[in-house]
Amino acid sequence: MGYFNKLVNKQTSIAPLVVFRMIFGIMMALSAVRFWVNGWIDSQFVQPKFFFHYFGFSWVEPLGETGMYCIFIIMIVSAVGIALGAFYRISSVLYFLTFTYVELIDLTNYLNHYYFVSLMAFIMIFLPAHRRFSVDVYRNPETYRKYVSAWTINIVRLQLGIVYFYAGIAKINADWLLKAQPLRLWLASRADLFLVGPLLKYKWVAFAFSWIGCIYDLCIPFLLSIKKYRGFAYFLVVAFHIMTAALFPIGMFPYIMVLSTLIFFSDKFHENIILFLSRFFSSENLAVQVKRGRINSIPQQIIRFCFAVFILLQLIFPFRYALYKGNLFWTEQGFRFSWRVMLMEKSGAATFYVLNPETNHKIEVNNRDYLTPLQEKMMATQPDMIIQYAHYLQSVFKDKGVKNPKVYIDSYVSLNGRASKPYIDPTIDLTKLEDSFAPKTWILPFKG
Amino acid sequence: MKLFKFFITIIPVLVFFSCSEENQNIELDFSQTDMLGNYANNIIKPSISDYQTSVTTLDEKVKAFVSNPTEETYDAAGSAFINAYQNWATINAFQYGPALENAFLTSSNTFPTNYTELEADIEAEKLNLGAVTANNKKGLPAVDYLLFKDDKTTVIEAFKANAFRGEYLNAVVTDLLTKATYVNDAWAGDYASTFAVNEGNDPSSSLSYIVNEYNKAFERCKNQRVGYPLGKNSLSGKSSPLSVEAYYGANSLDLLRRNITTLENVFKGYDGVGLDDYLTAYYNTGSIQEDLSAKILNQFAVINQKLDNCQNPFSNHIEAQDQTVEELYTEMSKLVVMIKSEMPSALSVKITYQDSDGD
Repeated sequence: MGYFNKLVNKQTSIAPLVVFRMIFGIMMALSAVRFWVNGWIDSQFVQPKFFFHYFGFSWVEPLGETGMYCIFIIMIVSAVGIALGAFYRISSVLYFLTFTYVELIDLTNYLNHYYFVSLMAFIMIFLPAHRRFSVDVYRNPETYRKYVSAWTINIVRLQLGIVYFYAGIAKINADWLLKAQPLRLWLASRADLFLVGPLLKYKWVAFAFSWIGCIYDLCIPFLLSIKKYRGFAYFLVVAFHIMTAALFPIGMFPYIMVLSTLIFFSDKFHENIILFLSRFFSSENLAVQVKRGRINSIPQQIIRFCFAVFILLQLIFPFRYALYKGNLFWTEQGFRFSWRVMLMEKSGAATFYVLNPETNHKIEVNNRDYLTPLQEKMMATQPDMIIQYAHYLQSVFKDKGVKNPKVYIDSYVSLNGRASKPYIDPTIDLTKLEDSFAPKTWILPFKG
Repeated sequence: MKLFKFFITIIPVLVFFSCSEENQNIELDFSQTDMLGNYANNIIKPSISDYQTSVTTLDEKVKAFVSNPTEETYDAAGSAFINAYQNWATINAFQYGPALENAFLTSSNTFPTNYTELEADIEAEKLNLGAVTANNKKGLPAVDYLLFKDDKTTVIEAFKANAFRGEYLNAVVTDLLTKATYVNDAWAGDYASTFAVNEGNDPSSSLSYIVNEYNKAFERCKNQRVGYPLGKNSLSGKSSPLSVEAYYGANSLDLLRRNITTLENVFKGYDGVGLDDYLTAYYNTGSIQEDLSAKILNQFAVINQKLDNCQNPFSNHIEAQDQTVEELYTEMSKLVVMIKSEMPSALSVKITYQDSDGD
């Protein structure tokens, strides 16, 4: 059996997948509950008057107050369903759909972490993670399976590996490695932190964090994959994520990663976890005849092929930025969905003017009248959001009785500690522009 | 495990290396607690106390005038009012904590005052200042209207003719005093010390309050005191001179100056450690490329110069939409970029608790 074949087809214990299913389900349920408790359903999906859409998803709209809370109830219940392995296919499909729907509502809230969860939830739909130690097996003992094809576990490892490795690649840039930016700005502001705070005011600390962070991201998937280094690698995972959790407002993500990477551990490790849990939940009925299932059936082959394409796309997509001219951090063309995490301290101020061609009067727009503070902040530095907002203003002022309003912008952006510079061409009528994958020539050139 | 040993050895070496040349390696030489202490104890607390004292005097003088409307009592009330309004300008940027709890800003200084409704209420002898909708019928702008809407003799006669007019004015002033006393009591009590130790940069840190409310206060100057009256945000583009602050007493320009001077001083931390020093400390480390502190102070100088070109009454500039006030507005707009975008970015001030993975 070739090495690759072994990674894909070897029959291996289902235990790592079962443990991952429980971890994923529980963490996702907790994340949704936390989101609710923090009042973010209201502040992010009910309060805003206007929502920024993802390219190609302009048809996604929030469902109103009751609707949004119902969506979250479905999300939480289905996440618990995943954890318990109860009605697993339905639960995993519902979770993927509700979570992804919520993320698609407003581009303002884009986080790489959410993208990761959507991808993982999608993968989970197709994995036989419920076929042991689950409510489904309890209900239908003949669905029990002790072994699965190795790819069902390796794809989760691969997905985790891509997140780390690409985050590492993204850190190989001059600002991060040579100027230790934005960490120098961020760390110095956290001198109040318990224990490590006093250390953060030293210049070398920011450089050390930048370099160690970069090397860590690049190496950790491999270290976790090699048995000899696994223990040490996991120690690094825990240390790294605890540090980031203490320093930055990144929510549940560090904990999700710390627990998810357990999937790199051996079958025996996971068998022991299940054995331990069996003491409390005795659903295991080992006397049942093991059925092999349809390991090499045609649907299985199709799923494997589709996943190969899915992974390939993920490997290529982050490099699309190379097709555009200009500084990636400045133009953000090809920035999202590429595991570029914590790379920029970018801020901007954007003043919009609506010109009434009939009177030639320029109305200055107060962004606070239309956007939440976070929406305003995010919009000011992201060209595609600027376009969307300009179109929104066009429609608002049409309703107010201005015929053919033109929208202009006066905008400044500062990046990683640089002085702010003009951002968007102020002479362009933004209503004439449409967002697309074509190069945005109306972004003024970056002057580093 | 070799890797592990490597890290275990290297860390103490790095720490030792850093400590041996402490001064060269220090990234940020700044104490946030010193700055917060200065703001809390030397700036905010005394400013709010001064305002409260001036409103107490206003309350006395107004009540004296209402009970005995003469030219003498009127003048005393008028000057007490001008003094109180000037003091309000010095606390405009401190609308957090007890002020926020108590809707200090909206109840004390919502302008322009709705004089038609206010007159209708006096006519109907209706008094309900506690209502949310009453904000534009009370506060300092209402006092401005009631005292200065006509010339002195006419106003005094109006108060003599209708006792309820006096009752209304008294109620407005009492309301101002109640709010001022509430906020002052909090700052004179525990709040100042709580504020001074609330370090960090998250949305409920003192730094975040200072910076975010500072921005709002400046934007109020730019928008409400200049932009809206100029017609910058209106569909028609017509000016509305009546919308300026303190239109009736024609103190608008003095108040605007006082607001701007105060904001400049707040930025400097008056004579102590302030936001300017914080930005300079960052600039000295090289982690921000521009001397933002100097740039902001320089812009204040430009704005002050444009203000010096303006003359009383400010509403005339507004009405004419002349070049002087247009220039003032343009320069004020330039400062917004610096204090709203660049300063919070340099100081890593957060505006939300929401999860973030970088900008």
